[in-house]
Amino acid sequence: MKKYFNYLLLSLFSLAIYSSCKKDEPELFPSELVKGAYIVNYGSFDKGGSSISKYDYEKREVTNFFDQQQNKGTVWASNIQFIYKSGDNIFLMANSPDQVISLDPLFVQAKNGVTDKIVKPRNCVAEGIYLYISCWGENPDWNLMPNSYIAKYNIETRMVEKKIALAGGPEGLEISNGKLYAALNFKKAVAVMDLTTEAISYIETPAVCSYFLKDNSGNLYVSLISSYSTPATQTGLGYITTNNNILKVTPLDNVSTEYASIMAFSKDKSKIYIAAASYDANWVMVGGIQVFNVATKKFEQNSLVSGISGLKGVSVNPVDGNIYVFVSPSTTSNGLMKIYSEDGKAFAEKAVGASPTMAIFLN
Amino acid sequence: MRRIILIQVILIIASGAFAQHSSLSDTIMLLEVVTYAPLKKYQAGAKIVSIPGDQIIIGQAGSIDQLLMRFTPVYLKSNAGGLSTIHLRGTSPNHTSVNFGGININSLTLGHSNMSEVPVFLFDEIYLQYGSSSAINGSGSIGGALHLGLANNWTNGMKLKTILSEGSFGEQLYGAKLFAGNGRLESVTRLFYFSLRNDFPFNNPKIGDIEHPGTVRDRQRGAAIENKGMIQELNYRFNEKETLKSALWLEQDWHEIQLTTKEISTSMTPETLDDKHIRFWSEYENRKNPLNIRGGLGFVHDMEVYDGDKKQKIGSNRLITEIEGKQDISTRLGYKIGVKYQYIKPEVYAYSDEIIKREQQADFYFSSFYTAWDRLKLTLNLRQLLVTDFEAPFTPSIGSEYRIFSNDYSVFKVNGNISRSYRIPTFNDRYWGKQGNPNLKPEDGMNYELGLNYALCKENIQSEVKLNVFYMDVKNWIEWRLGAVEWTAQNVMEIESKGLEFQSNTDWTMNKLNFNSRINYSFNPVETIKDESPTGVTGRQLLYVPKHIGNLYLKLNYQSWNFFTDGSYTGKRFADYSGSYSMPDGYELDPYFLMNCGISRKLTLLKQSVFLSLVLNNIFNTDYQNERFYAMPGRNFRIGISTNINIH
Repeated sequence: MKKYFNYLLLSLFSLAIYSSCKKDEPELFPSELVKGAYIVNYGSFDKGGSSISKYDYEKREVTNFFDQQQNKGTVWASNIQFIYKSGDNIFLMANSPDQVISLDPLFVQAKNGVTDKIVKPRNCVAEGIYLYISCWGENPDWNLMPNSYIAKYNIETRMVEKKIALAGGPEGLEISNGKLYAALNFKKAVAVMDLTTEAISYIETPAVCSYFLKDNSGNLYVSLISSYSTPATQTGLGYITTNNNILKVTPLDNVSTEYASIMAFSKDKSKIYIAAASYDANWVMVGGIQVFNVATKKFEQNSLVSGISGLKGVSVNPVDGNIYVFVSPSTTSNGLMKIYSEDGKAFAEKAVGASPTMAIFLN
Repeated sequence: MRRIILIQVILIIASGAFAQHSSLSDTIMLLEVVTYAPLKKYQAGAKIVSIPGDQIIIGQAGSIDQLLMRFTPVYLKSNAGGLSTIHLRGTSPNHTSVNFGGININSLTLGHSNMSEVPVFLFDEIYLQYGSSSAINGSGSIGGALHLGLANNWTNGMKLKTILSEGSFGEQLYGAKLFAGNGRLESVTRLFYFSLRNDFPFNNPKIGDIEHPGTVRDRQRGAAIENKGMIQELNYRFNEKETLKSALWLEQDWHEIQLTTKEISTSMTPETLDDKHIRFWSEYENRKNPLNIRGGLGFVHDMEVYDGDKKQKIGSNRLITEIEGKQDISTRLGYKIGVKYQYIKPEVYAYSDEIIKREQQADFYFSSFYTAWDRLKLTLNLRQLLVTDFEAPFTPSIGSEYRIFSNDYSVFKVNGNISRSYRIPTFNDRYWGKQGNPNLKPEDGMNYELGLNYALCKENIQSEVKLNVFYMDVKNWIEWRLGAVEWTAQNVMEIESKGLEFQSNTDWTMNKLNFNSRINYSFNPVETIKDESPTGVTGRQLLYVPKHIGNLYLKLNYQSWNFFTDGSYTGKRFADYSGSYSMPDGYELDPYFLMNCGISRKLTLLKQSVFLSLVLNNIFNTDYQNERFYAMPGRNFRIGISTNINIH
């Protein structure tokens, strides 16, 4: 009995020590506060309205203007083009005025955004202490983008250490096999930059490109779109094998030309959801989410959802696999977030901020 | 009846009798009586108001947007950097036609005119028509119409008018008007040059500044303006009833696209817009026979270059010809019938030749008036536009004017008007890149108007008071929205605009003092009642349309001295419906009140008239934004000298 009493005493003592340790080292960003979907509302270019909506997908509750709530009501002057998480940093690529804003996982902004050597930032990807940022440059020639570049930003010093010239308007970025891949939005090519030597080569594409998804083997899917300045010979989804940079294209018409997040992997990465229009039974072009089967490398005949006007973007919750579709035909009023299960069943529709484009999911 | 006409003529003349340049204003006012009548003749019940000559003179150192904002109950969304659009009765800028001769100068690609690029100095007459008038003015006149007029003086001799003014923040205006003629042949040359550095200080709220929140004193940059232009008239009078008039208007307007309050502290360099316009209108009129004939020929070239990139041209060329027959069968009954043809060739980098090479438009119209008995006048207008590959609606309008009572010194009238209106989508709406939507329908409106008009004319006081109520419904309202893949123009909304407008104009004389006061007020709720998009907002006041707007003008004349003051109030406006944490229902711009004053004196030097003037604008140094994120100048001044020289 005494032995059991001693065990009990030891257990209580250990628990007390553990508890006291917890008190001394409180979690900086408690999961219960961080967990959720964070929706980027772009707003109206140069006219304000950009914000973050937080969605508690367990309670199905939306908190609009979450960023302002976390920052004593401070409204961003810029339009948020893209959001990215690296470690305990949330990075926002912000336009007009152009800056890179850093937040903690609670979306608290401690310092003003970085503006030096940042002009029209679009997208980013992190490697070690560096953030590679695609920038379009000042007063661009919208046909050729000769002055666009990649900014090499040191996350620790919060400074752009180098501007690497890359004409053609780099948009989406991804890193694989020690190389930075840049989807050129104004030139029919993917740029490939060796991160060590910074030498740039190109993969020719039948259309200008917008974004990447990286599969488990480090190969990349790239969206191929048609634009007015550079019409495509073939739009669709490209697949780049990164050890030899060979591109294979699966055609798909009318891929969305929207920015930020027009495609997303399913939870198990067996499918890719991509925003693209198709014709309905009456031959009216309608927006929708097409489904690409990763195993067969083909698009499924039926779209996941269709008949959507004003489709801005799509994101997938990595926890439950639900698909978040963002709709906003106008930039001056609130947008909608429609949530679908993996089988395409709609089960929630929430009003979010103006012009929602994408979401990131934090735990 | 004659007495009533006399009272009206006296009222109009009296309203300008105390203008700064008395000889000029008298001329202008007399001419108003002459030129105003044709606009009203076939539009009983329509509300058409002329901007008085004294106010035109006050505003001649600027653009027409400043003139309208100060002296009419009309809202213009404008910044300080050379971009300004009119929202007449809550409609969009594309819904007000701007007429010069037989030309609607609105851009066919964008659909509207930048009111900052219409210099007041070049014109003698400016009329504003409130409410729909498509049956008279054609496509686009849903909210109203603006008429820019040149007075025909049939000069015998030579006259030179000049103006030179300098103002705050590098403002400069140089202008000259040279009239030469022998009473039959007349040449009028009007030249102007305007530039503005526009580097005014203002309070910048520093939005988004986490480290140093609060307002700082900042200075605007990247908002310079340089406009220059000329109008060359050549007029010939065969006899009293047969004339040939022509006017060539050349204009080049350049401005930096004003940096926002968010951008001026960055290293960003401003982009620029360069607009060039050639507008020509020639008109022959023969009134010798019972059937009067009028024929016109015009040409318009518009070109806009964005940020010096000549590859990105947006422009158009058009040829216009019009022929009209007009007959007054009796003093009670008359009609006119005509056709206007336009051949349009767009020149836009984003249009495909395979889709649009040219467009032809032909307007057929018929107008008539009938005075049923002395008290009642009725008018009818019918119009049908034919457009290449497009269907425009038939557009009728009827108007009436009824004199309720009159006596030796006053008239009280009621008038009403019902009119259908429409707008053909712009070329950009239909043909821009892959996004143009050739399947658009025309915007289609109905306008109902009722007005009361009281005029008083006594020995020492003359007054006119107008009260108008209106209701307008516009279906198939076009907005650019994100569609299946692209942003396209779509017929998505139905808009309801209604309201009340009050205007008064009073002159009174006391010994050697002459006073004039004008009051304008507009209450204008404008809402979307139907929106076909899933996130459309209905039942809310339209963006950038104030419900309340008003202004007051007071003028005092004593011998050769003039003093004026004016104040204008612009109510709250929504800039968006998405808002912020502190304004979740939408971002609302604060209302503001601006007050200006000025003094001028007429001198005679070497038997010629010289006018000196000093104007102080925004005297309370009000800090305000008309458009969100665009700073506006605080207190500023302008000093000017103008001459009126009779050469022989």
